[in-house]
Amino acid sequence: MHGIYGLIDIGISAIRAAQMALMVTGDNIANAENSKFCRRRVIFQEKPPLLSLPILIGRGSEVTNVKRAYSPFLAKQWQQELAGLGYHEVRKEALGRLETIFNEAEGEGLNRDLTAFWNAWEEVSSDPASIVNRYNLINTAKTLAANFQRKSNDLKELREDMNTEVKNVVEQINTIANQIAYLNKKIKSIEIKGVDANNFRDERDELVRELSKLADVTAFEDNGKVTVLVGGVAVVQEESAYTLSVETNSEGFYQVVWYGEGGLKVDITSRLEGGELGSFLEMRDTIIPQYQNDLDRLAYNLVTEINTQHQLGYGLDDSTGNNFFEPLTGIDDAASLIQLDSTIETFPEKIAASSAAGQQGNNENALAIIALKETAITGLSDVTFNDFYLSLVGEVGSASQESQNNFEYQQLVLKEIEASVEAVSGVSLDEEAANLVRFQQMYTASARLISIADDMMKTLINLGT
Amino acid sequence: MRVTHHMLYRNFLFHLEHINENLKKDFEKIASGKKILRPSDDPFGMAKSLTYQRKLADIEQYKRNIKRAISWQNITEMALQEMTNLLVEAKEIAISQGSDTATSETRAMLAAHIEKLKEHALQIGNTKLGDQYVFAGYLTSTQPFVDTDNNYHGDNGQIKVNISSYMQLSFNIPGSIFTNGTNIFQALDDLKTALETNDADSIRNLIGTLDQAIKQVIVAHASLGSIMNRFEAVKTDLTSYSVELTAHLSETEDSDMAKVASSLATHQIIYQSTLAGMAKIMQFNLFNYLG
Repeated sequence: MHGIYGLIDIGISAIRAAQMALMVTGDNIANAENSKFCRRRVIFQEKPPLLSLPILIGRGSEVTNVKRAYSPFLAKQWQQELAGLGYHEVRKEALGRLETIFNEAEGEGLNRDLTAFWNAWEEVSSDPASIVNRYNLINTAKTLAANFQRKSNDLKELREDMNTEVKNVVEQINTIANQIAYLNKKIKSIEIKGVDANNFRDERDELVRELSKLADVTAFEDNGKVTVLVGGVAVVQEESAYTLSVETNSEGFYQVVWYGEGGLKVDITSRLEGGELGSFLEMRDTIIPQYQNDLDRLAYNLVTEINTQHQLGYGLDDSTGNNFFEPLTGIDDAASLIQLDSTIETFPEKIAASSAAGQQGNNENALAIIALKETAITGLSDVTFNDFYLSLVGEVGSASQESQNNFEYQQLVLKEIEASVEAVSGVSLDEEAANLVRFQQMYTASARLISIADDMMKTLINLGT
Repeated sequence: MRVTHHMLYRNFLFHLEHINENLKKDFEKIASGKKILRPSDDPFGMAKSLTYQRKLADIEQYKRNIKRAISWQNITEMALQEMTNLLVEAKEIAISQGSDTATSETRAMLAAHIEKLKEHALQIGNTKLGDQYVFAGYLTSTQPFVDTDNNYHGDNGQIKVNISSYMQLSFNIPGSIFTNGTNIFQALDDLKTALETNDADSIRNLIGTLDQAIKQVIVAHASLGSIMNRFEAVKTDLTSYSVELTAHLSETEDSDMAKVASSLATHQIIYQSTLAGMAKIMQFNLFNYLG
């Protein structure tokens, strides 16, 4: 309608629009520190003119939608880098714990115990008849064995912890998958009316990001609904969540299993590579076993080499063919099974320092055992016991150092991505302050429009008087 | 780029965290005096420092081995010296009693003295360190010499000890040096018999035999001396090596205090200026200027 009433209508629409814009601005300000919040933009739309009239003039404005300032491209990158962060964070922390097990910096550790063990043999060699020296050797060997056992135990515990975490993460993934499926439904039902379900989308994006940190996730949106793939299988599709479960394998560790429609079952453990879950699995299945194996190899070869030489020698009681350590059947778990031979422990005179019977002062076998210290051991890739252990410590140290660097780097990468996201989606208080002024002016001007229409009406009414 | 307050704030926190971490590292280095606290601080340095520590412990052990060898050798040396003195005395008796001025009485009297010397010689041959016979080779619990025969009952075992990672030296002298070549105990017995039977010719003949015996002991003594010198020399080497290693170790794992302290000061300044900068920036936004 053209005319004074039309003017009032325009004023009212503009007042409404300004009010809404102010509300959106207020909402932006209120959520400036809300990390999952994307800045909202008001979409103004001109109210269409009446086509029946000869001249087309708009009938004011209305707010048709409130959109999020959001970049799907950055969101994807953010997800990927979060998976990297989750992976490196877990790796850094797990390797940090691993490194504590092998930390020799405080002076305690296998390096010191191995040295003490060889030196106790030196003492025996320098005075083979001395029982005191023999007891000293026994105690040193027991300390050494105990240290092997403790390290082996610590490694097992660490591996167990990683396993428990696998289960925890799978549970978290399930919870989040359910929430995403629910939000898919919610968003669909709102957006069917043609408006954006902004807060639910914020919520869902946040959940996808949380999920990305937990596992290497592929998420894509189709028709307002997000499909989420973990390890190639869909944990969320349309409005349903397909949860993951864990099943204990023959070694007592959890396998991650997916159940789909119609009883379909897929073991996805080997496909999980990124995120916290991938990292926990890698630590559990690859990295820790490798160090366990190294430690076991060291223990096994030490026991075997020493026993072989020890059997050749003679004790003070002329006994021969004795073992020094309890013999081991294989490398498997050697570090936790290493133990001083029980006979030697009770009868120190059986320690075979001599190379012949009846020679109390003969120390040749003790010297032969000490010579093993500097011998390259075939079972240890042709390095000495000490060097093998040192390279083990070195490897742990480098791996830990590398993981710290990777984590720091990943944090930097993430910081950059987050800054880019923030540049698009973040709330700038300066900007909002300016918007406040703008929309307030709009409000004032619109109100002015109505008051002018009022004046005009008065003028009209008072024409006759 | 749009820069939001949130971005500034997060950036600030990120850097603050970083600076705090550096401060923590500096402080750890100062408090512990070490720059390597865990393998990842410097994996290569860690391996080096562990090698140095092991070598130092080894050196201490080699020094203990040498100490024991030297105390064994000191006892041996004293015994050999006494044996030489004893033989010289026997030889002097042989010389004086081999001359025509000696009478059957003096010879009979000195025969008794020679018997005492023989007993003493056996004692010397059976010298012990603790409860081990030093002249018995490997058979350290077997008495090497008995008064019923003049044979050596030990063996020729050379007891060796490690005195460095690549060197072994033996420190004992088997008692066979008293019986092989010239049998010292037999010679003393012979001298005693000759004195008792008043056999001047035999006494004179024994002077040469005793000379041989003295030479034999002196040669053994000299070779012992040279081995002892080697032990001492190695000990000196080990001591200086140990000083060197300690220096290397310290260089590898100890904090350079001056460096760490200045790094700490730098990080503190950065910390303070970051805080101050942020406090300034955070005060301002457009709201301050709107009526």
